[in-house]
Amino acid sequence: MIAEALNRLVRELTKLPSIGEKTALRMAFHIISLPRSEAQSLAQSIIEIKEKVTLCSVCFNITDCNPCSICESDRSNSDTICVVESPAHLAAFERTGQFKGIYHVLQGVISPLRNTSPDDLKIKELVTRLQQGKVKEVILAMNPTREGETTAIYLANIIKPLSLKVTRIAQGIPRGGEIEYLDESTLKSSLEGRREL
Amino acid sequence: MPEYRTTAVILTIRDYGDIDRIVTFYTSDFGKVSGIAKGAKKSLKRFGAALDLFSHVDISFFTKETLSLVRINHCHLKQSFPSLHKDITSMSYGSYMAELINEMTAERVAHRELFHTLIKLLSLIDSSPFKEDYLRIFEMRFLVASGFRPTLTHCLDCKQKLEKGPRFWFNIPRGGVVCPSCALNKNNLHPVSLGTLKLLEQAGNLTLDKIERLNFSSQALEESREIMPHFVQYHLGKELKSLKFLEKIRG
Repeated sequence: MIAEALNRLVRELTKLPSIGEKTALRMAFHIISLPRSEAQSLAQSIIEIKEKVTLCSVCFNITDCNPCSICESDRSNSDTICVVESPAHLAAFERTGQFKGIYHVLQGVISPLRNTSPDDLKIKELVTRLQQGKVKEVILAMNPTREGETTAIYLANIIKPLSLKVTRIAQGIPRGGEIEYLDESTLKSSLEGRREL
Repeated sequence: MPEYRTTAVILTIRDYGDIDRIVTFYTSDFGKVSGIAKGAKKSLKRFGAALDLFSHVDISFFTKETLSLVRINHCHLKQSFPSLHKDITSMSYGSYMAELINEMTAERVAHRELFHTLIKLLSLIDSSPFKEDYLRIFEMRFLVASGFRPTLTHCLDCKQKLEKGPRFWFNIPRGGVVCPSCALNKNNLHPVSLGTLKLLEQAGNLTLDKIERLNFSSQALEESREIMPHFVQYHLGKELKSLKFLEKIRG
């Protein structure tokens, strides 16, 4: 018979993504074996993340100060806004060190299969930012998937009447890729999106 | 572990762990199958752009009797239906058809006619201009293929053939139509004209190459919209997310 406290911890851990009951039980036994200070530190970190981390009121990135450090900083290319699906995608672009503009995180993509409509995303907030007149170019940086493309085309149709330049991130052959092993759809995208040297 | 090869339409995709994806696809030879695509998020070499919603693909997978998920080995794109995502409405039509098959068909039960209906209707929605008619045609053919064909030609109570009359009444729980005299003093019935009933009946009977000839009037669309999605959800026992989405975007 398993102690009720252990049962409760396993139930809570299985609510996390990709954690099944066996993994949760293994994690729970590991937590039992931890020194009290480490277990307390873990619990405290979870509480703190809920208390301190919030969404930036401007770009909707995850932040512990509002507005976030990117919105507050003096970026050299602040008339260009990069629209991304999630904070993870924003972090990926930041890792390149190439983009010096500002961001807007939609918090998802349009998905009929998940019943996520445009009203469930931060689209109204994006349009409000664009109407302020500081932005000249909008980069649509959703994933090149069916749902990402639907969202990008929907946004382009909304943004174009505002007389702003709307661009889509390039699609095609990844760096280091082998042309003969790529599928027809990717090669077609690479030809459509070719650039002059 | 034997390897199987078939053609399929991708119904759902979800991330699993850091780099894998769980994919549900509807095949011509094995019906609905769910499988894991190892490394699909990270490496595009094996799956490329083929692993995307509603793509028509040649797929190969390994299966083990003890495992419910197959292991997807290779996926080659046959048809991508590129216009489907160019409009939020056509995207939701495709999603509705995929969700219907995913929710209402059993795993590993093949139904070639249904598979070909799905391909045909996705192609029609992909071509311009797409019409709501295609959803009603798909629903009807899906119901026929699944054994839930509604009775549209005669009254459920008096068994009289429905031939004349301005209006008849559809009973969702009973799956059919009653004539005006049998409908007296009965609740929760949906009005439907003889023209709409004939169109829906044809949608279930015509051969696949002729279904695009069907043309729903605005009255037929309005009446059938009040019946068919509710009838489908009644048998499913739950609401479909894509239908809720369609209602939201219609406002």
